[in-house]
Amino acid sequence: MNFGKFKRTLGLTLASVAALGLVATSVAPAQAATTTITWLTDNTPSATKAAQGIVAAFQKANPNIKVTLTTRPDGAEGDNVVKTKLATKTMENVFTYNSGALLAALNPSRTLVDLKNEAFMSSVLPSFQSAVTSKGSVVGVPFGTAMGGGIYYNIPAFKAAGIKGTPKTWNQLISAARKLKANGVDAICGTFADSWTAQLFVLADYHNVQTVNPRFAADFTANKIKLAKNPAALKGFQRLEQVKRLGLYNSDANTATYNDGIARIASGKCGMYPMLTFATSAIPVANQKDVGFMAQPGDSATSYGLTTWMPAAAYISATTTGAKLTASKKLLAFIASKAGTDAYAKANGYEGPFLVTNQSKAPASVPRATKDLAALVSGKTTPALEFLSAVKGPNLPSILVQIASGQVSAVEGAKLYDKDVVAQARQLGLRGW
Amino acid sequence: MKNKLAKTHLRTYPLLFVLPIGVIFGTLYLFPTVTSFYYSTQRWSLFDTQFVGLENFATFFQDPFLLGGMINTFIYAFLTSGLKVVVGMLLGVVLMSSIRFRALLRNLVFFPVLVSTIGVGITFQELMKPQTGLLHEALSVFGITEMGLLGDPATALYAVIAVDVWKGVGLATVIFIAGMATIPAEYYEAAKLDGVSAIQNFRHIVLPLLRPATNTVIILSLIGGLKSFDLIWAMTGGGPGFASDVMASLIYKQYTSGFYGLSTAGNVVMFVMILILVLPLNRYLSKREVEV
Repeated sequence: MNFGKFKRTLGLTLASVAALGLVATSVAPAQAATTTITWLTDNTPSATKAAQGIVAAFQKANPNIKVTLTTRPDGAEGDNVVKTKLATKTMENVFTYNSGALLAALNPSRTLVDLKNEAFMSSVLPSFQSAVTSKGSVVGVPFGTAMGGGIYYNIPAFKAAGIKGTPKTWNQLISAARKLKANGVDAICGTFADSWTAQLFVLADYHNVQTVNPRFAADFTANKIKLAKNPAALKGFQRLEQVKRLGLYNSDANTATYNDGIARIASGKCGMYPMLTFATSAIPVANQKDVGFMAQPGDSATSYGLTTWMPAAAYISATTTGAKLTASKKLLAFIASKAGTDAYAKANGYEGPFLVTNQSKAPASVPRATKDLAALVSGKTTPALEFLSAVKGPNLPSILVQIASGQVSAVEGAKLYDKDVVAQARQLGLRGW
Repeated sequence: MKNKLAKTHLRTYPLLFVLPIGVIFGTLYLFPTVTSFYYSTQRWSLFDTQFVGLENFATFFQDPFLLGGMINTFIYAFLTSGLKVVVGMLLGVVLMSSIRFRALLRNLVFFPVLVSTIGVGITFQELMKPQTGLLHEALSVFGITEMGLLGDPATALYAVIAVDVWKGVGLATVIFIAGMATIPAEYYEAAKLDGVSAIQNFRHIVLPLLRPATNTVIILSLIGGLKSFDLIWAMTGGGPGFASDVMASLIYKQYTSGFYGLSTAGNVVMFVMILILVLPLNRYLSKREVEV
């Protein structure tokens, strides 16, 4: 190609691009100002279904706004997608992501739009607002329902083993597990191939920790507490160790997966499965009447209560401005409204209470575990530690698998985790580390 | 003057051929490698960086799981490398001899090299699963652990090593076959006249003249083993606990936890470690090569 021709072609191209631009700007106002915004959500079936339901209902109510939904991977890979998009300023207008400890790593006061003064924030419950507050900015609305961390139990298996009621103390739980084992079922389901599932006995024990030590979260964040030396916090680690030592896990616990765990608690192949209640919708409908849910009991029956998890939140990226910002705020207001929770529950099934003041009511027939959760939420509850402290070490799942597979003791594991959180605290630049 | 120009031309002319690959190498390998030295001294959150000196390296070396990971890395690298040499050479000898279905067998041995590592990992994970896995059921005749090969902290790493060798030995075999094909027939004929046995033949002709091929296999599989990650990640995720974690998987976990500076420092450490190990080894091995 000779250079002269290249220059001509380039000139022509530039001219036509400029002309197109002119056309675009002159046409835009004539189109009744339809604003298109983008929304990035994770690709788990429940999040995708719920987001699609909300988008459909929102567009019906706001014909001038079009929402384009895209998905990203879940888990650690998804964390990196979100961080990279925010850092390179290529994030969608609206995106959904965890609330609590993981939010701090997004540098929210700089990368997200502060919603503190928006009218719709008054309908978001204060307990959720504190999970999306960072350096004085309140940056998200709840996308999903409150969850509990506790133990699913198979009701027919409990009956067959002659267990009456549900355990209200840890010792009652152990004796129930022994009865289950004597009756020939796997007492407690371990699914450590998905190592995150090993965390429940420790994370869901936090209600019991805070009952003993109300200032725990603040002291832990300030590096004044080491888990290995704190008897209350160490208990969760010791519970894991005890269950392993008594042989109450299934023999293939190290290679079983989360999906195996769901199938086994549904069929009664195992009697108890420590898990978060988001799993209820994964239990086959035919088995939902057989699976109940209880909080993780502590040492005393009088303080029996539930450790709760906050749902993910919808955020607006700081790169969003002008008409798109107005439209994005409208979408968030919709998500936090009764109509938004109706759309969520319709698309995904009712999973539990939402975290907004005016919300969808529970339908007449819900799974047994969802009913149990609702009853527990109205009793004593404590948010999980990750919603009270930004300090969460990344190796907790693997360390707990080490304990649950008998490679290290509870105290050694807690010591390892104490070391593990140091890197996290330093990365966040927290004081006192 | 003209002569001088021609000389410059002669000197720069070959460079033009190197330029395209040079640009690709520079942008995709050299630039990231050099910048990684910079980022290893930063606390990097993707949003901003802050100079922290050698703190990342200090944190990296204080990692309580590093020592176990390093030991596993060496076990993994030396075992896979050694097994690939031994098994690959035996297969090479067998596949050079005039046996039936030689072409078919050569293809079968090489086939696993072409399959996706992640695919192989997931397949063997299922095969080794207790209660449902075919391989587990077959091996349970010999009384292997109820936890499954991948579920038992004592066997998980070795189960992955076995699969790595199965998958990679085809390449070693091909290198050995190529090496044996370059040995001139005269040596064998001369040996035949002297009446040597098959074992002496192998010991005194094949083995020494195969040294360049052996060295290639050792170096390639050792480097591959030292930085191996994908198969381990697909089969065990480093577990149970940290039982099959190697340096690369530890670094990957730091990266996914958002410790970008720290994981970059880890990569720099691994880079230097592989250099320190492989460069002298390579020099030592090349010295012992003999000319055909």
